[in-house]
Amino acid sequence: MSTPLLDVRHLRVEFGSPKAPLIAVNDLSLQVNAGETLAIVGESGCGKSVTALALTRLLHGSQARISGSVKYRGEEISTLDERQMRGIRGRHIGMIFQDPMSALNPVMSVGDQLIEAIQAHDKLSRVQARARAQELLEKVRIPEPQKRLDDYPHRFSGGMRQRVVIALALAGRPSLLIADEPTTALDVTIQAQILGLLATLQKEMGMGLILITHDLGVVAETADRVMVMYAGRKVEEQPVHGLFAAPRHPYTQGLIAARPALQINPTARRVRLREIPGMVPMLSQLPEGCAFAARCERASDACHQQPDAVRIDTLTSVACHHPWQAIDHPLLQPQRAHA
Amino acid sequence: MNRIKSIMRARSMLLGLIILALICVAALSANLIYPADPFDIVARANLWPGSPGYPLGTDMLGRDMTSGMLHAARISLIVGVGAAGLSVALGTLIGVVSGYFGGWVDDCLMRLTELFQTMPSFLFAILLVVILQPSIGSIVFAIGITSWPQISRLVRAEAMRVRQQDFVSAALTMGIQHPAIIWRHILPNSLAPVIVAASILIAQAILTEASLSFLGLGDPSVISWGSMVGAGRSSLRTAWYMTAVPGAAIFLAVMGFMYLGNGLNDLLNPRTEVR
Repeated sequence: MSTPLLDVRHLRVEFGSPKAPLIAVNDLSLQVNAGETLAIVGESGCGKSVTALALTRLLHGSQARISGSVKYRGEEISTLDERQMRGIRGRHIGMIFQDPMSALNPVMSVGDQLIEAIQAHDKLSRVQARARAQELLEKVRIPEPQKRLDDYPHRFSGGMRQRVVIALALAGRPSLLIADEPTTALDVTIQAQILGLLATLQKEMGMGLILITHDLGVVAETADRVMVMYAGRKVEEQPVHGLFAAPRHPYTQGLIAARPALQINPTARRVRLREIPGMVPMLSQLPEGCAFAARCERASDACHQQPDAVRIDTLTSVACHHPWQAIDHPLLQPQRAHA
Repeated sequence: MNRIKSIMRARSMLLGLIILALICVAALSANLIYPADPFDIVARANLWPGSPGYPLGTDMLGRDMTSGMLHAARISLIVGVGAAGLSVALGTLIGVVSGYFGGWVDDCLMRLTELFQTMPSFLFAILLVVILQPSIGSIVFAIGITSWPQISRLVRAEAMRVRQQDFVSAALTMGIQHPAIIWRHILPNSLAPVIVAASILIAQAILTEASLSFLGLGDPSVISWGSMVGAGRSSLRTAWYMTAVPGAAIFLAVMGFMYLGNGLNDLLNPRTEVR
C-alpha cells in the first residue's frame, strides 16, 4: 500500500493546567488516502472539531498542548514552524466550516475574498486571480459567476454561501479537504446538493476528504470509511457499509438506533426511538477505563480498564471489552410503544 | 412612536451636522473676512457686541472679538480633529493587535493601557504640555496620548469578537498572513463603534484644549476659544460677553460633535431597528 495522504498517529490534545489536564483528544490515529472520504462521527463535545483544528494546528489563543505525529504525504508536519505551516494550510489542507453565515466576511465582496485566498498561494495578478475566482465559482455551480463576484455575502442564500465557502477552501487547490459539519446549518434539500457537490469535486480533483459530522445520514451518503469518536477516543472504525450492517461498539449501536427512520405507512404503530441514557462525561470527570461504561448496558467490571483497540480486519477496529459479534448483531429489536 | 423617534434622531444628527458645517465655514472664511492678525488692536476697548463694524464687540485691549472667534474656530477644529485622530490611530493599533493576538501580547498591551487609564488624564495632559512647551503640536500630542486608552479598549473588545468568527479561522486555514487578516477582516468589521467614539473624542479634545488654554497653557502665538474665555474672565463682572461669546462657541461645537456621534451610533448600531 502506498503512503496515505494523511497519517495521524497517537494524536493527543490537552487543555488546562499540566497537573489536571483536560484531554480533548486521546491517542487518536487515523489515515486518509487520496480520493477517499473518511467520516468522523460522534456526539457534540466528543473532540471531532478539536481534532480537525489540531491537524492544521489552528487551536488559536488557547493553551492547547498537541502531541503525536501528523504525516502529510509521508512528511511530518507536526514539527513545522508557524511560517511553514502557513504554506501547508490552504495549499495542501483546506477547511470548510459549519456555518456559512459566519464563514464569510460580511464587508468584503465574495470576489475579493476569493482573490485574497488565491493570491495567498499563487503569485497572480489581480486580473488573473479574478479569472481564477470566476472559475472557482463556476466549479461550485454558482449561476452567473461573473455577476456574482462583486456581490457581498448577504446577497447569497445559505446554500449558495456554503458553495462560496467551498470555493474559498478550494482556492489553493488543496489535496486534502477537512469539512467540519458542512451541512449542519443547511436545510435537507440543500444538504443533499452540497454533499453531492463535495463528492463530485472530490472525484474531479482527487482530494482526500475528512467529513466531520454527527449526522449518520450524511455519513451513509458520502463516506467510504467511518470513525466513531467518544469522549476524545476512537471507539470504532469501519468501512461505511460494515458500520451500518454490523456496528460493533455499543455506542455505535446506540447512535444508529437513535436515528429516526422515515415512517411511510401512517397506520403502522409508531416505533419508539431508542436513546442512549445519560450524557457524554465532562472532560474534567472522565472515568477510569472505558468512558462509555456508565451508559452502556453491556458494561462489566472489565470496563474499568481502558479497552485496547482490537483490529478485526485491515479496515475495521473496535475499542471495547464486549463488542457486538456478527451473530448477536440482529439490529435492535425496537421496543414498541403503546399506540 | 418609532417614526417620531427616528425623525427626532435624524433631526439631532442633522442639527449636529449643520452646527459643524457652520463652524467649518467660519474657520475656513477667517482669513478671507479678517485677513489681519486677530491679536491686532483695532478699536476702542470694551465695545459691547452690536457696535457698528464690530458685531461681537472688542475685548479689554481693543481686539476685534469677531475676528478672534473665527480664527479661534480653526485652532479648536485642528486640535479636536488632530488629537482625536492621533488617539484613534494609536488606540486602534494597540487595541486590534491586543485583541487579535491575545495571550501575553494582550496582557502586556492591556497593562500599558491600564497604566495610562489610571493616571488622571487632564493632569497628565497639563504635565506634558508644560514639559513640551505649549504649542499646537504639543497640545494635540498631549490630548491624543492621554485619550487613546478608551479607544484601544473598545477596539480590543471588537477585535476579540470578530476574531472568533469563522471567516477569520477560514482565512487562517487558507494560509493568509496575520497582518492581512487584521487589515482586511478584523478592522473593517470592528470600526463602527470607533467612528462613534471618535466624534465624541473630538468634542472632548476641544473641551480639553479650552481648559488648557483657560489655564494659560495654550499656544500663546495663536488665539483659541479657551484662551479667549481665560482672557475675558478678569472682566467678567463688567463685560461678561467676553467670556460668554467664546464659551457659547465651545458649547455649540461640543454639542455638534455629540449630536453627530449619537446620530452615527443609531445609524451604525444594528440593534436599533430604525434607519
